[in-house]
Amino acid sequence: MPSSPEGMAFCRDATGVANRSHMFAWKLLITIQARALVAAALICATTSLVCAAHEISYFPSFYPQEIRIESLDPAAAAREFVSKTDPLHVYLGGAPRFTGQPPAHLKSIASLKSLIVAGVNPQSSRMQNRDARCGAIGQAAAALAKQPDIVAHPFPVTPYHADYLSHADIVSAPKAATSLAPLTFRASKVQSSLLSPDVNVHATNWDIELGEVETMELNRQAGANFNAWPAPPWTKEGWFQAFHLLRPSVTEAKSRERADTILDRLTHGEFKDLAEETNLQRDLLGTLTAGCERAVVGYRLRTEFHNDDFSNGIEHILVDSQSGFNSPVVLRAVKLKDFFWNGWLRVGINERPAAAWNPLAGFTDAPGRLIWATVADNAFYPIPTNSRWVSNRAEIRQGDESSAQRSIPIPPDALIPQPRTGSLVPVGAGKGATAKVLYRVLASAFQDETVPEAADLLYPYALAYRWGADENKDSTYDPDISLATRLMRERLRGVKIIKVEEIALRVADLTFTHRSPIVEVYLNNLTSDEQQSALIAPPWSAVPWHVLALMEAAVERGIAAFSESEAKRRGVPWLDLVRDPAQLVKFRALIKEFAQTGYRPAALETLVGPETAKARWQMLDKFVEEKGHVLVTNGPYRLKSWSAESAVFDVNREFTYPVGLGTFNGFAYPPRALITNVEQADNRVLVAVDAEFAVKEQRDRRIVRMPLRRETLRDTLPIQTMPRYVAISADGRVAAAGGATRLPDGRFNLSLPPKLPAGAYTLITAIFLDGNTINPQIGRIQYQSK
Amino acid sequence: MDQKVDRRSFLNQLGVTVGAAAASAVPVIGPAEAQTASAPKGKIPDTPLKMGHMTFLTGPAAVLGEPSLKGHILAAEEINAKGGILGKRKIETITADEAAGTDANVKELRRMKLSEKIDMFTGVISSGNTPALGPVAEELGLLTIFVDGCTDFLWDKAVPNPKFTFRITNIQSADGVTCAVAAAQTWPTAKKIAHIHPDYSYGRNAFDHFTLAYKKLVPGAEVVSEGWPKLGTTDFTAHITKAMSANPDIIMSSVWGGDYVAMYKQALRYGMFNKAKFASTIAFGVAPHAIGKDHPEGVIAGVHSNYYFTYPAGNRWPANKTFVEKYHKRWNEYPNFQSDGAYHTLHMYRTAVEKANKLTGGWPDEEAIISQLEGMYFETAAGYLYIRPDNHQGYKDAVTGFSKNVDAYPFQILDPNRMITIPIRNITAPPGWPKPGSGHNDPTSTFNWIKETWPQVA
Repeated sequence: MPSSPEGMAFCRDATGVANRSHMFAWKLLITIQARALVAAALICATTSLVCAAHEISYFPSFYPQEIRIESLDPAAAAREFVSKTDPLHVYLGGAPRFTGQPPAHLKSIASLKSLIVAGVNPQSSRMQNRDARCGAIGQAAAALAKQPDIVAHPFPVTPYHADYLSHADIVSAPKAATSLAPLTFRASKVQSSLLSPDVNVHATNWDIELGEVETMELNRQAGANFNAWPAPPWTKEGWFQAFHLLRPSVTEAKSRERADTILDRLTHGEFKDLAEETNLQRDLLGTLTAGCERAVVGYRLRTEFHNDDFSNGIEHILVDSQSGFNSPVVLRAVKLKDFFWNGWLRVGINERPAAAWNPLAGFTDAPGRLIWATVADNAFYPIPTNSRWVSNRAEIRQGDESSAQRSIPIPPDALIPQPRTGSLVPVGAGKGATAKVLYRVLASAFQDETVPEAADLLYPYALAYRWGADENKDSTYDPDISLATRLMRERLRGVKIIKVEEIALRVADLTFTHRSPIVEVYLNNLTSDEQQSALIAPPWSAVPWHVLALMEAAVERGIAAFSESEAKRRGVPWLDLVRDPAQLVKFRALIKEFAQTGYRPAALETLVGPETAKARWQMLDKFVEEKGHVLVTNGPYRLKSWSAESAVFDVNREFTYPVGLGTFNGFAYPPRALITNVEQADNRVLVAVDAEFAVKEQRDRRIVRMPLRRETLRDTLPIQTMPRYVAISADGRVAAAGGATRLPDGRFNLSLPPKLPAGAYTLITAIFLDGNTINPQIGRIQYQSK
Repeated sequence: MDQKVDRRSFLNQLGVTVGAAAASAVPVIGPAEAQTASAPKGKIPDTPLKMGHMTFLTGPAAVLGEPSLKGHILAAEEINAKGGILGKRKIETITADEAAGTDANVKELRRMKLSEKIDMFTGVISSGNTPALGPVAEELGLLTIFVDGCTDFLWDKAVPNPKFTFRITNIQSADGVTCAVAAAQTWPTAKKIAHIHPDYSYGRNAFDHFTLAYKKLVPGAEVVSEGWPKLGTTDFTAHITKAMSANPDIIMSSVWGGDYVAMYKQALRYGMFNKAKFASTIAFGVAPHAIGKDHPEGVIAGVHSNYYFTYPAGNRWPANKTFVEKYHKRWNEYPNFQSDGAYHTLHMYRTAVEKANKLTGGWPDEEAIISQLEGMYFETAAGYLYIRPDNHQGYKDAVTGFSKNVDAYPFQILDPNRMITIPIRNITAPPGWPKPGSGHNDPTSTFNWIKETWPQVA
């Protein structure tokens, strides 16, 4: 389909006729409408209100002007932190190896690194019945080594999971060694780092084997790679991780079936209220652990250090509860002390990059996640302090109809990809969905200077269906893409770009125009949680369609494979857009060929004309010529240089980049509520709390504690409160769960249901401040309902 | 204007002072917190006094907004500790994030007045916002004192005849003129000027006013290089080397904030500060602790013409000493010009209410309060603030100074013994001077006034 003379792209309606109402033209991303030529103030005085002083209310992208990521072993990191000329700012993945105490100018923050699991030896004669297995597992936590980073915790949901409150009554202290026969643990190198030195070990005749599974690896196995594909909404929830950790070890078919059913209900939102949802989560955990084949007995913390020096330190940093400093939001909030913005950030990481750098099934190791998080944007990001997500490049718009629990007609001209081919075809008349999500997509130019079009937003859907749908179709199937896109493919029912909004951004006397597609996505998703629906299949691509098509062509022609497993199976290299010179030569040849032919994938033939395609390939060719790689994104940083050990990124300060300084700062130094009293007054339960939070003072922060009042400010902003409680009846079932109202004196009155049946309840509660659910202080009271 | 005077005489006429002296002489007035304080007259309601304070709470300009809110909170806490204004009405502040954008800010101002029923509105940093908010405040009849938003355009065009709106910051043109006067005073033989300015209105304004004033003060002065880094530039190398290659006597800049820090750190690598003198309108126009000790010493480091916490030093100006001590005690940091502005805005309002109460009894209406604000001389940490009755603009002596490292602070400061002050009335257009579009098309009234009335010194 040719472009119009004005450079606008068209799409076709259901009959294939060009439809002007479907013009997607956010081609011209930047227009400077009022530019000072002689004297800006003259314009100010004679035209419109475009005056400004020095202050800039919006600044694109994030604080550092350059980010340098280096692989450093712990000893090297310790040395680099004290470098006189170019000190390290932050070290990811673990602690540096200091000789003696850490230097005074360093600070550290802990996050959940891994879950420690105990598995029973099915060959052990002592472990053949359930009671023996449960008894052994119950004792295993007590055998853990007494190390500062190891926490004995015999339950799969930890205080670093946002759903901890829902299970806090079940979590018990590790049992001391009992009168049971002493356990024998498997002797291995891994075990020795986890076990107390005084336990029995044996190489073959063992009862219990300990293992350690990093939560990020667990998420990867669950299909959440944090690369180009959306992660499942529940990625950081304890019950979700427990399912993927323990389900493979469940031996009873009935238990496996029951666990699958409960998971299905939880992920489809099949529950009527919070109490039922909580009961389902508890039932799932109970089912997974009932046979005592495998269980979580503890967890390990990751302690990461950052520089706090007055000049060379970091003023503003946050930590993700589970990925630590290796989080996209961390990179988007980190600020150097010597700079209001800008500066050269030096990041060390304790691993060498091993995974290939491709956004579809690469970037799977810790350095890869960090590099992708630096160079590219995703539609949403996990919030560091809970298990919700925050908008980045897609905003959820309030729709015109309630999407929950009823059928919504899908416009016949909405598009849906076809399995195997990926062809985008109209949904057709008479189709319905159970959910509709309306998005405003924050578009911006790609780094090869191509401007986004409809094809860029739609092509990831096509690719997911083409490469993820049919495992029997050998040439176009990749198991990693299949796993990562399973949720999307299961639930997507249609997508329609309805218009493009223009928003003028005025910065002093300059005006920039942001063009944002408004997109409807139709899903079969029953949840009433609009954010959860929005995470299933957001209309977003961090890379342009022509780079996706290049990767596809490279795989189809046997140059490489998307994923590591498929590369091994096919005997070809793992596709790398940057670091494999041999692949790059072949990519260049493909690009030149496609620039000649105007190649575009079959799925895009109705959306992209050959001339437009030619222009895209030519732009990409120019980019590769200049930059020496094909990692083209529309993200906040650009890859500038790299080696086997490091990568350097330059900031994108184009004012058409739509996310700016300070966007994620609120997640840094999260406040915490400390419960000072829980009391029953008639039928009410009242909770009093103090707030503990960091106060900014010059370039530092000081922790203060004070009674939480409505007017309590955290720096300059009021503290948002989210009270939660769970009422558990004598039989262990959750009878009610909910929030609380705020009383004038600052206390919280738990919103217990008026018809809570008479009886005794264990009531557990926590108050989350500014969304911080991590390591909450939990209040408990025995409540008598009359 | 072909009148010829010598430079020293003219600078004396302007009232330029250099050194540690305090501000220019005006009537004796007490410090902010103590100015007027006697038993109120008549019946005073004890309902809270609702204030709206809009400032940048997020985004890059939060480096200015945060000190503003801190200054406001400090003043409110002081007033409330004494029972409130007139001993009865405690202040309740509703904050709004100015980063929401001009249109949203206008809506928020209306909401604050119509839904929250605020009694007074204050704050506002951005010059893009004051011209939009000023007319709305007038329409709503809402007493408003802008802490900043310093564009000349507010009074030149947007609200040419204000009744309810006031502003206490110096106007933007003063930045360039102050810098020019300071540079001419300090380096009178420097004739070759290289410029590096951000390529938007502030940079143009600074360039225009500096160049005009400097050429009046230094005969034969010429612009030898212009660099206009695009907004968002992180690599200033080309502009630094271009300026240096012109062999200037002075490099003058209005690059601000994180851009300025990136620029000066890059300039250090090139030895730029050793090749020429350096003068800035706004290098220190941020929170004091923000400037590192690697910043070059001895450069003219402007503070947006308003206030720097080290001046007047010691006991020379007790109002400053007291303010800095109180601010530091409350926030464990040092105030900047936004802190000073927001703090004294509230105390100035309190003083106006107390004075009006003496005249009218009871809680005075807006008209009575406005009548007390107009023409008020008010002692602030920065010196005397005079509210001009005709345009409701606050005038403080302009101030700039020289960067210096001292042991007492872990950051670089302005040397309190080398401060330069200029009575603001001598570098801004007087009342009634034609506004742009009324007889001239110069960028500002002040620009036209300087062009037309300042002599070319010999």
